[in-house]
Parts: sequence; structure tokens; C-alpha cells
Amino acid sequence: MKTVRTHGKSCLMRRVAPASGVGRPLWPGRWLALPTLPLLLSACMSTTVIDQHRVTSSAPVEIGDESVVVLGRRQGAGQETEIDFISCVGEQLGNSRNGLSVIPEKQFVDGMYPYFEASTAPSDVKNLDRLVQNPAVAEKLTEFRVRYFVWIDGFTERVDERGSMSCSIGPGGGGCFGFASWDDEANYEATIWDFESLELSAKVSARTTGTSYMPAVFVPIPLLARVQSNACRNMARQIAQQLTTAPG
Amino acid sequence: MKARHPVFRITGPALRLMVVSVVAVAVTACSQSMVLKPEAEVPPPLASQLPLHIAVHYPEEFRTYVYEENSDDRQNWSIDCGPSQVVLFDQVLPALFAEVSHVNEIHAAAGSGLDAILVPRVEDMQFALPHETRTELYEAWLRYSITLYEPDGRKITEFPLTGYGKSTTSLFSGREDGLNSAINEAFRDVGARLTLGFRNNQAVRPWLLAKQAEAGAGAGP
Repeated sequence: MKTVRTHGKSCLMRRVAPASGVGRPLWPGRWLALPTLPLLLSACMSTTVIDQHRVTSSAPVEIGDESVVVLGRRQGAGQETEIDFISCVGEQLGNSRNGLSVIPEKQFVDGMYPYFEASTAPSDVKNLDRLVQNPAVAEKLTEFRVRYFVWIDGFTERVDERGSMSCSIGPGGGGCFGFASWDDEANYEATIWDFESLELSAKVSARTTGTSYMPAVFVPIPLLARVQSNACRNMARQIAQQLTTAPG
Repeated sequence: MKARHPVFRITGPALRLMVVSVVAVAVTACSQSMVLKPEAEVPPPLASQLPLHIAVHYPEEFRTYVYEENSDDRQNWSIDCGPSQVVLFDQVLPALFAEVSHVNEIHAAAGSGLDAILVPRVEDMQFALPHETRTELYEAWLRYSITLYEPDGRKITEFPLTGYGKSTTSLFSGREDGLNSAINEAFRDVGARLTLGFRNNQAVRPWLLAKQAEAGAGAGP
């Protein structure tokens, strides 16, 4: 098992005021702001820990001939894997650098209806083996040219919130004052099935944590840790590596 | 010289009208009412057809079914599921049976060549909003009963058919979108269970075996 630890610089700062231009008088408080800014920027970084485990030595995807489908596991009673996370991983895998042919989740699930619904989807690769005994299913999978199934289970949640902020509006104007921060945590696990050998090929898990801040002096300034998108990007990178490189 | 700018003054009646409008919009936005007409977006199923000619009869109360509730928590809820249910069954049944037609009553005309008449009925519907279950989920449960009749109107068998759907809350979508999405998932689940479960249903299997034997005997010497 190989563990890769990445620390992403993921602070998204929304610009709410125009930057000072050349020739403008410099704000006297800049000497206070300058040391604060890096502190705020570093504070809202997120950290991603990736664990990957190759189970079998599957051959890499033949680019152009074979496709990959990324699907969300939605069988549990609780919170379900977000549709936009699945699309994000699919888009990252299909970008020009990876060059993988990725079938969009909805197109695949609709095309295979009713075999990949939340209540009917195969729960392990052995069930997939049974499913392809059905000629209609086998024919449709061949039509899609599926080589790898990537099942993703997990979600992003807010685990803590601190601080307070109050906003008020009156005849003379309005504004917000205060400071709020919150911690988000993303936990996802991808299970990769090789359709050719009908075996579990690899597992990749991503755990991303990050803290976002929102100071407000008249105007709230969100400093957001992009937890879910970092988890997506890092997980997609590792999945692409699993799918495109021959086992060493 | 002083530039002239147009001056807008809000007079007493206009101000009152504005306040009333703002309050009305705010009250409507906070109202508990829910009026929905969900659409069943169910793709044609991948299934091998049974060599049977089935007629489907949608009773009036099925075609026009509206879930209604008016309680303290759910004021003026009206979820019009009738047309979508018809769309759902019309999409799924032709994938399951070689021939499907519609009849207006359970007693078909003699010599129609029908193997059975299938009648779906709504047994129950339940919905849940995120604040009611303290989750981030919109949920829908649908329960139907499916009755099969001989072409002469004698009852063959009856079995329940259920479906469950859920959707997560989204920051920029309203509760109507959330519940619509959950109901559509539940419709898909009903279609999936009917397609995959009909052949092996305990209530249907003896009749299917009898039909197979009948067809085998008919094809014999």
C-alpha cells in the first residue's frame, strides 16, 4: 500500500474591493494588513491524504479504444455521494492530460436502466460477473466499450463551526461585523473494477480537511478552503495513474 | 449652474403599497405550501420480453392521483403524481411484455387474445423534508399494488410494488426541486423493481409457469 500526502494551497479569496492602483495614496494600515494576509491565506489551506492500493496487476486502459465510467455509490440510508463530485472526477479523468474516454454517469445509468440504480447496482465485482450473463446487459456494456468501473463512495461535510457575525441595515446603510470560521472534511473511497478480468483492480481513498474563514468589517471577506474540489483533483490524479500506468 | 436631476418621491399610498408587497412576498416565501407536478424521467428498460399480450387498465383514481395534505407543518400540500405514474408504467410495461395494449375496463371483449389485464393502484405515498428528518435528504416512498386479472375479469393474483428515492439538499435549489428529484428517483426505483422482479415474484410465478405450459402444449403435436 502506498500513501501519498499532499498539502494543497486551496484558499479561494473573493475580491470584494478594487486593488489600489498606481498613483493612489497608500492606505496607512497596510503595515498591519501585510503580515495578516499571509496568515489568513495559509490558514485556509486544505490538506489531502491519499491512500492507494493496487489489488491486481491490470493492464492500462487502451486510450481511444476503451472507456471508463465513474459512478457514485448511493445505496446507504445516510448522506449520499454528491453528483457534482462524480462529474468532477469524471471531468478530471477525461481532461486532455489524461486523455481517458469517460462516460458521463447519467448517460451510463440511463443506458443501463434498470441495472445500475441505487437499489439494483452490483455491490461487488462478482455480482457484475453474474450481470454480464444477461445478453442485453453484455451487449450494452460492449456498446459503451467499458473497461474500468470506478465506484466512488463518500461525501463532504461540515464538521465544526466557530465565531459569529452580525449584519445590520439601516437608513444610512448597512454592514457586517464579526469573524466566523468552519471546518470541512471530505472522505471518499474509489473502488476500481476491471471489466476485462472481472476483478477488483485497485482502491484509492482521499481524505481532505480544510478550514475556511470569514472576517467581516463592513463587508464579509470569504477565505474559502476548497475541500471538495481538492479531494476531487487529488483523487482523480491517483485514479488516472492507476488506470494509465502498467503495474511496476 | 445647477444640474437638474429627476426626483422620485415615494408618497404615502405608494409607500404603503410597497410595504404590503414586500410583506406579501416574504409571507409567500416562508409559506409551508407545496404544489408539485413531478415528471417521471424513466428511460426504456433493458429487459427480455415475456411472450405475453397484456392489457393495462389505469383506473380514474390512478390517472388523476394527487397526494394532498393540510396540517400545521404541511399546509396545502398538493403533489400531482397521476400523469407521471401513467408515463412510468407506459415506459416499463412494453419492455417487459411482447405486446401491451390499454383497456378502459377490467372485462375485456371475448376473443381479444389477451393473456391478462394488469391494474396498478396507489396504496400509499410518503415524503420527508430535510428539517423533518434532521438529515440533508429529501425522501419519497411510493407503494402500489398490482393486480392481474383474467380477460374475463377473474382475479389471478395481486402483489405490492414499492419504490424509494432520495436527493440531497443543494444550496441554490429550492425544496420543490429537492422533492421533485426524490420523487423521480422513487419512480425509477418502482420501474426497476417491476422490470427485475416480475418474473420471480412469488405471486406471479405459478401463473407464469402455467402460461408457459399452456404455450408449450399449444405448440405440441
